[in-house]
Amino acid sequence: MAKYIIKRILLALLVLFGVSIILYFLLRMMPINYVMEKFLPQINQGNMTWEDLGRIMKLYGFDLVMFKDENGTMLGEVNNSFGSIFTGYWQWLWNFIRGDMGQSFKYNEPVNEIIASKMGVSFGISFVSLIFQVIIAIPLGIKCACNQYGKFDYITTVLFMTLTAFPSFFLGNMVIKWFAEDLGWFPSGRLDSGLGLTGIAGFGDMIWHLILPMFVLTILSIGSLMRYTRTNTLEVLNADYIRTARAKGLSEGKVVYKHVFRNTLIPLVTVLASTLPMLFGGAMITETIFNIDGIGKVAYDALKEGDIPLAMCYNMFIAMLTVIGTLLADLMYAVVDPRVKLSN
Amino acid sequence: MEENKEEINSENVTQGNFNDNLHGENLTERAKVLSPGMTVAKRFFRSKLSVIGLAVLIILFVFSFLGPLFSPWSAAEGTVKDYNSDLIKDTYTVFRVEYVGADGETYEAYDITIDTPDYVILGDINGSHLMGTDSYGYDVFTRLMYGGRVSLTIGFVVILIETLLGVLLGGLAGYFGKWVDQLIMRIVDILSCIPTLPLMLILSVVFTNIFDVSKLYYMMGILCLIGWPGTARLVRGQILSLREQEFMLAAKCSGLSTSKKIFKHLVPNIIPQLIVSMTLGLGSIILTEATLGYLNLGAPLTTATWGNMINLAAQSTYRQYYPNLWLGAGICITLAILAFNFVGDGLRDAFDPKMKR
Repeated sequence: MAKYIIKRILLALLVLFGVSIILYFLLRMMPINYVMEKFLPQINQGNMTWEDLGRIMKLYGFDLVMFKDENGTMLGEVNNSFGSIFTGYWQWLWNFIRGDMGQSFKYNEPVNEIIASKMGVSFGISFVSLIFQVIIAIPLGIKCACNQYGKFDYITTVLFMTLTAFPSFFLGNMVIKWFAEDLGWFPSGRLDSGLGLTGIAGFGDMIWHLILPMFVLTILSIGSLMRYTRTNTLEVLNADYIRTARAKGLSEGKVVYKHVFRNTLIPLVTVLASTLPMLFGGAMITETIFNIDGIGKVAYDALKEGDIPLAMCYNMFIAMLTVIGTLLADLMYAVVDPRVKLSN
Repeated sequence: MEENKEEINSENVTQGNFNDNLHGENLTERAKVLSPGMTVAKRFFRSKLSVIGLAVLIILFVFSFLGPLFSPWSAAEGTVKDYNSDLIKDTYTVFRVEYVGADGETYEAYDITIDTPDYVILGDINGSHLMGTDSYGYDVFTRLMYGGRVSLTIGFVVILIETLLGVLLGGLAGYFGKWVDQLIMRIVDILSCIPTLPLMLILSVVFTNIFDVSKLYYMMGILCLIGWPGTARLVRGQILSLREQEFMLAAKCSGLSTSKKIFKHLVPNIIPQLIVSMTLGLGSIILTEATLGYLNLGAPLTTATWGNMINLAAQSTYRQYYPNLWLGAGICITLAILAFNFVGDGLRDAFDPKMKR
């Protein structure tokens, strides 16, 4: 077991290394550079020379190449040759290993602090939505499986498949249009009304603002959990021990709640472990639509504007969560179901 | 297999009995033996959901590929079709007035009214514009058809290339094992560990400076590169179990070349799973394309795609007051994804009734 875990962790480190190389090179290949974009107006106004910018860029880990165009005006661009990017990557990796995630270009704060401070909201939304999913999807899935091909099964399956097919941005915007803009029941975004409410009133205000995003998140992923539960329950229902339970004269309720339900939970544990990235990583599109200042929106802006340290840190964070999630799922499977043996 | 036999037997009996009484022919001559493909088709069409999915898909395809032929409007380039081009020219109405000024002289004055062409910006829904017109005056309904062409074509091209890549690399990994397997599977691990949406965002920003249609091809390339690891995993897993079976030993004994063994004996055995994963994958590719379109990072904005049309919903004015501009595109995307899911599920059940979900 210990050997298995160590092997998996070493492999995971290798994978993370590969992920970081690909991400860093791609981020550097973006045609925009946050630092340069920030200082260009000053250069155009003549308050700053290209040499000054070069020195500043050096601090940020970039290499500025200066050249003259045909009219003789000085121009500069970021040196995006392989060597320069590689040096930048090496610098980033060295700092990352030592636990220094770097400073965000945009916020001028350590990246890990930004992520830690924005994670709360995202985690809250995802967690509440996950609880709702579990409460609604698992009983429905089991009920569907018990009445396979019945009317209830058909209607529920079709309904939930339809819900899963909705793209997040479409559902989000429809919900905003109908419930926020037309009916006016809920606010259309943001975290609070900006009235400076505190205590219980403030918390209530926040909940009121978060109902729509939570609703959207729940609707979007409830279908797959429901279908997964249904499939597993069907498998369990066909197992021999269920036939035995029925044969020894247990009531149908007892069969379902004591034998089917518990065995259905085994694979579900692994599914829940793999929701880890979603739980902590925030929902990028939903947060952007609802203008919620969570980790997803911050990361989205960072990716679009080329805030490299923040984007790198966020993506590595998600990749790590994915790796941990899959490892956890495999381990949980062995813990919950003693019949499963982990091997190399 | 057992179900298959039963079907044949039951038909044998009913048909045979009937014919026996009439002509006294041999039972086996009258028996209708179903080929595996026919059995799958029969099982597929037995499920209501898959038939509904297939019908929706056919409707969507006819709508997008044949629909524009019957529409008087054009949406691909954003101009009104040629025979309507007289509509787009400005017309002038000149109104001449003569009057006597305060100084006693006679003046001529011209009042020129320029009639802008007959297209309506953000027009209402009416007989000629079934879904109104957008902020450039294009007919939304026609644009929806052209959008479907692009979105569906992207889906099909990407899934084909992606599957080819996946089969090739997954097949190599599964067949050769050892370091080939290790290398390919680590690449697969890495690619599937990178969060998809951020990766797509970065890549689309890398290509932001391309404004013409070639951006579409880059996008397809990116989608293929991201998509193949899933297929490779599937193929590898299947091949690992298949290569231990007797028919592979037979293939080895008859001295077939490696490529023949892989592509003629192993790959045909996983085609059912591949078809299912391709059908289910089509939905997710259409979704990714639409997501990029929504975030303004997909195909160039002048191209009509479902994703580009729905990105209007991000602006609150359009969202609130002109739902006719984006609701249709959203419904089309949802319908396409749903239909591909229905058909995929139906195919899976039809290919492998034991795996029925």
